[in-house]
Amino acid sequence: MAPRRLALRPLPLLAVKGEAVLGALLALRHRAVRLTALLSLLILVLALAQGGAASPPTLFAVGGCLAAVAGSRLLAPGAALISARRAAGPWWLAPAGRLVGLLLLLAPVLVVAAAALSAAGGGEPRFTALGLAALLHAAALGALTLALAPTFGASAAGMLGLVGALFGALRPSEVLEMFAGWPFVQRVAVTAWNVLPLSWRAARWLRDATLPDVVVLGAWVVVGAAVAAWAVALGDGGDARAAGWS
Amino acid sequence: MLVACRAVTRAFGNGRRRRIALDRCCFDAGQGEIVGVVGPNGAGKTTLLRLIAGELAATSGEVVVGSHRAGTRPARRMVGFVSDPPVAPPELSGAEWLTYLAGQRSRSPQERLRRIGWAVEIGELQSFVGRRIATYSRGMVQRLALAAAAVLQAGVLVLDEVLAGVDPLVQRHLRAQVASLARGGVCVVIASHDLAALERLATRVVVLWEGQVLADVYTAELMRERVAELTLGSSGLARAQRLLERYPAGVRTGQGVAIPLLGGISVEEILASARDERLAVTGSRVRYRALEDILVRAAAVQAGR
Repeated sequence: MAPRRLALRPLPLLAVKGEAVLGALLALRHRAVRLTALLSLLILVLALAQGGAASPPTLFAVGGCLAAVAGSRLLAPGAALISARRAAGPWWLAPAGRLVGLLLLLAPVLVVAAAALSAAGGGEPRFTALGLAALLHAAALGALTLALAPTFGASAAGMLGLVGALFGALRPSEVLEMFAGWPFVQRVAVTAWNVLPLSWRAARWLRDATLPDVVVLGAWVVVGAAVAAWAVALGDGGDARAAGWS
Repeated sequence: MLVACRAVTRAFGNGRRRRIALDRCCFDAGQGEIVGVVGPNGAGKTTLLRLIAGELAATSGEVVVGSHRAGTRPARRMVGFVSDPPVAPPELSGAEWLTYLAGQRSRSPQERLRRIGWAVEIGELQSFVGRRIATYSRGMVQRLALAAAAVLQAGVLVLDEVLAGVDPLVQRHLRAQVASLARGGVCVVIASHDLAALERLATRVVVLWEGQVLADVYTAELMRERVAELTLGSSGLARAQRLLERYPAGVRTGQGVAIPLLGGISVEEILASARDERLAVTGSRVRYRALEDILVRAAAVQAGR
């Protein structure tokens, strides 16, 4: 009997490239993303003028804001979402490809910003690690908004991502204190703070090199892309049967 | 058959709000065929097209594309769909949009380039393909949409109102391109309110009425049938019903009646009947039977229920 061969399909490289380019274009060409980029630049300039003060939180906030707003555009209801469905590629192709496109766009920005902030703050030697942490955090937050956009709309997803990026530097212990008078809210908020891909995790990873933080942030990238793929497969009318999901 | 709908029903809503958009619809279409889908607003044309494209699932029955159930990935890869209104990201240029779509089906950059060039020719997009889609006119968007569906080189093209809202020259161009794609073996299913355009373009026409297939006719057959149109004076209009009772297949028109010359009925016989009924006939002509006659007849039958 002939040995069974493992038949691996070749990667549809042109399709992946197409999705990455489309992701980058959708992010670059939308005015909300451009406006966020302008505000982020302003924050960076102010931080640099103050000698790179609080460089990791600043960088995480900037990267998070950009990723959240741009991520919400990649599978926004309308042409972006429908194009992913009509392309009828493998289930992972559109979310993963477009997220890669977004990260390729963000990576140089974050690395340069990390280098500039580190230099302004007295030459922090680990600027590569800082850039990497910012990129991982941005990827996780971008994946989260990517996953939410098809169901809740780009504006809602972007808004949630922005809130996460701006307030994510708070540690769970600070959230615990903040809601001391409301036990139920406190429990929900602290759980959310521990689960969501927020910047306090990226900051802790940068500081302590803790593995669980990387795992949580990395898991969000995978989960976000998978949920987005599921939303794409549901189709225009949220029709699960049309997509063969039931 | 490339497309087969077998007793397809699609309902929207639940309980008292349940509305049946398509009711036990059966039809099929083969390679190289251009099947027109006509019917009044709300007849279920778009629902049928979306079912074939896999964007909706049937409540009951089955839609098959190629040998795959519609909506599955292999079936969706066989369909190029132009929705109404066409969907394209306004942030991109036409060239970027076609490059993206061509990249989804090409194995090499050369193949992708060839597909894009071919699609640009199909839509005659040369003069504006580099511009942002947001700046396109309606006709430009329709042409890009046809090119975008064609660039996928799918076996089935599903076109929803692709001929609507464009000037006669663009419409003529689009019709020619759709016909040329069909000659190349593509199965085209096209919905339109432009009955005259469909008569010229389609090989077969499916008439939908309140979700049901009312007629499935070959356009060549239409050309073999004749209709006598009588123009009646104002006094005759009131009594036209008596003539229509003699010829049940006839319908009222704006200024008189139209009666199909079927089953050996002649114009002379109809004019004699009009004289018997003392109707003042001010004019008469014989023309080919048109899709409009089928639709008007269906409306009259529904109104008489």
